[in-house]
Amino acid sequence: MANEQEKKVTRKDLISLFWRSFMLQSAFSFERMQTLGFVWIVMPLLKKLNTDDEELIISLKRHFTFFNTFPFLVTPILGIVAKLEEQLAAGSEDVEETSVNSIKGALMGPLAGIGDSFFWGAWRPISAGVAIPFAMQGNVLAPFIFLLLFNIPHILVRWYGTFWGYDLGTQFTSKLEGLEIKKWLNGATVLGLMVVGALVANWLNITTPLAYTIEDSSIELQSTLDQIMPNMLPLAVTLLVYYWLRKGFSAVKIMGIILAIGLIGGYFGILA
Amino acid sequence: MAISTTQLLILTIIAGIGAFQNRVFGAPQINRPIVLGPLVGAVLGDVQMGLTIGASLEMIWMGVSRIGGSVPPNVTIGSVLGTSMAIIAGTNIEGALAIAVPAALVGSSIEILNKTVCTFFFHKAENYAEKANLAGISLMVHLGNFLYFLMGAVPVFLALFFGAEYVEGIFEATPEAIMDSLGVAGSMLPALGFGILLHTLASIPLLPYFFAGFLLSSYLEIPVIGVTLLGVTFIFIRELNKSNKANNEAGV
Repeated sequence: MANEQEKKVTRKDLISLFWRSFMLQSAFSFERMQTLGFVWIVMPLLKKLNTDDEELIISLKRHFTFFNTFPFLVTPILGIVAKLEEQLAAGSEDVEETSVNSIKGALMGPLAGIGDSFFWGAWRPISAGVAIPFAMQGNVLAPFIFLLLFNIPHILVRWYGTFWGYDLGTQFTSKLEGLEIKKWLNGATVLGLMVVGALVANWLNITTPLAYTIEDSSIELQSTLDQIMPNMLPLAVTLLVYYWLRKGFSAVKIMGIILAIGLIGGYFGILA
Repeated sequence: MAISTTQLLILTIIAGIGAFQNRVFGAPQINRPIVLGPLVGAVLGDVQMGLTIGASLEMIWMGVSRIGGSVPPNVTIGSVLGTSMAIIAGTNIEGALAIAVPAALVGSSIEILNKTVCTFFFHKAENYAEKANLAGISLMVHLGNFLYFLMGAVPVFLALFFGAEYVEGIFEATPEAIMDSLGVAGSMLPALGFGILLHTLASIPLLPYFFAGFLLSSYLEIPVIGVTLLGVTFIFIRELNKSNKANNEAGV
């Protein structure tokens, strides 16, 4: 019976999964993406659960199936896998070998979508948006503000995800739906958009030095524009980029166009 | 200014660790320009310049992210080379942009090469799994990661080792009018970052929130942090209203 005791997943094992999860994207390849990293993370746990070499090889090979998700959100999947592998090793009849890969496959897509839109789409720009004004004013705290803001939810999600995944097991999927993720994502997106708007107004500097003459008095075009709407040119250029992207222009192509406009406009004194 | 061997080595290691961050450290974003700019500035003795360059590059590459297996501009190589070359040559931000933007594109081609080569380590590891050789799998993981370290470190080392002494001369030889118009072009480039973000974040019905943020800052001159906090408050009010409404309807 002592042997059965050793085949249990302990809190220590879960904490080890949490730490190892940071290396998910190790040796990332086009062909298999995060697969090798995932194997590396669960390797010691599989070794512990499968004392027999043949069983170990079977469980290892199971995890060589293609895997790719959002890096911070791998931990709930790791927790679930720990639970399933534990049941498999104990010879439980409730779990089939195939269920490990089917739950990995079922969760990696949705979690990737949530992570990409929350962390890359909204939270990183928001964190950077808060830190950029400090950097522009020469405050050395700027990088620390950015890293702290960005990584607090990052680490929390990784840490709690591991335990939620293990505790809930395969029920995690239905719990995830109950969390109203869409509502939170929408909130983050709204906030991200407002921050981008504020950044355009504050930190995008596009002006024109052109002047025109009415009844012998020279009037600067920029001051007229400012009276109608401050930062009108930065807004116009941003919306133009947005429009081009919607039309399917590539980012590199748009960069080329902007550089050309800037160089020509700057050289001939149309833009400053 | 000339660059010392120690500085060269530290910058090389910073670039290597920057390329590592996505592999070993779990992508905590320590390779973003707003972090690497001031860090490189500190190494070369001009933190202030590093902060300004870092913030500008951060805005340009704000919308850049690796979704799925895509390879966007390599912000690590771009940030380290752009910031260091500008400080070495004593130019303004335009010098940093002129180096950083193309360097990041070259960096992404090297990354493509890396991601192809790592397939080899994967298959090796698969063979080790057949023999339950865990140490062998680990070795493949670490070798793959080391390749990524080199991907960041080697180009930065080569560019600084061979290029640092010429970059000042090149920028000095460039006519001032061209450098100035390069500055104008550079100050327009953050529009690309903002536009990409707008494109990823906004479906048309959400666009008014972008305008709300813009108008609050433009007419009322509210700084970015103020707009952020207003946004958070607004979202909570909206959610509160929704749940009140739901409760009232349930009561009827």
